[in-house]
Amino acid sequence: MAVIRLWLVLLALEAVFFVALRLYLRLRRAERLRDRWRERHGRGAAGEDAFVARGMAGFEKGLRARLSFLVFVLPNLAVLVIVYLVNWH
Amino acid sequence: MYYARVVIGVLFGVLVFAFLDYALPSQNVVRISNTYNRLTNIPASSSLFWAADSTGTVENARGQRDVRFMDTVRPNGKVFVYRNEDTGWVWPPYFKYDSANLQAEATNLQSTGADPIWVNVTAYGWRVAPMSIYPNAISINSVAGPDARPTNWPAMIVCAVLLALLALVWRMWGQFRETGLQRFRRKST
Repeated sequence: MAVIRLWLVLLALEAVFFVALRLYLRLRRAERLRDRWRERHGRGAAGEDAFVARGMAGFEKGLRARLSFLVFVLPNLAVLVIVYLVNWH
Repeated sequence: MYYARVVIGVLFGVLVFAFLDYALPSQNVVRISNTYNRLTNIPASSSLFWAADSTGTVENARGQRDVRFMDTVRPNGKVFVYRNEDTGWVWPPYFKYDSANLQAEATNLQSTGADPIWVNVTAYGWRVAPMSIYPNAISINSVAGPDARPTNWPAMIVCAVLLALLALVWRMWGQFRETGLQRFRRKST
């Protein structure tokens, strides 16, 4: 079935993009936390890793982490919009 | 090595442009002069430019397909032929399965040169006469006259989304590289 194949391919692409996007968001946040610590305490001061770990603890509840799930929504929505515009509009 | 990289880069750019030019919708103001079905030979060399097999297209034992066509005339008097095939759920992602309706619409809007009805046909693909390939019509809208220049919103939106995605992937790649380098440096010192 072509529809199922389309959906599976779309899901696979979304999953790959989702993993990469999450990794990117995490790395960027950790880097910013690290920069902030170094700005305050200088390079090599003790407690840097603990500070970053504390800052990363709330990542899952943050706006960006929640919005990142749109990766699984928006492409499917786009497909529906295209189907509507092409066939019923 | 430098020249090889330049050549590969230019070829890649041309390839991307050609791909987008083929797959994105384009709009043309035309007058429909005829609509018909024709038993069409689809050689393996150009099957890429026709609907995929799994879209419900029927082929006879000799590999010929009954394809809907539309003959049109442009405002400058030159003719242009569209095919009208379902793309179904396969490439390119137009998800079109109303080709029968579209054909009926086209037939309804058929007109003569003396009393023209001008329409805007949205289509993707190329017309390459030596290879017998035709652009696939997606939708038809009537317009005020032959001078109408409808804005091609769909292609613009797709291009904008692709550019935004490219920028995001670019930044992600930069971040991954930077983090990787930092880890590498930390380990090696």
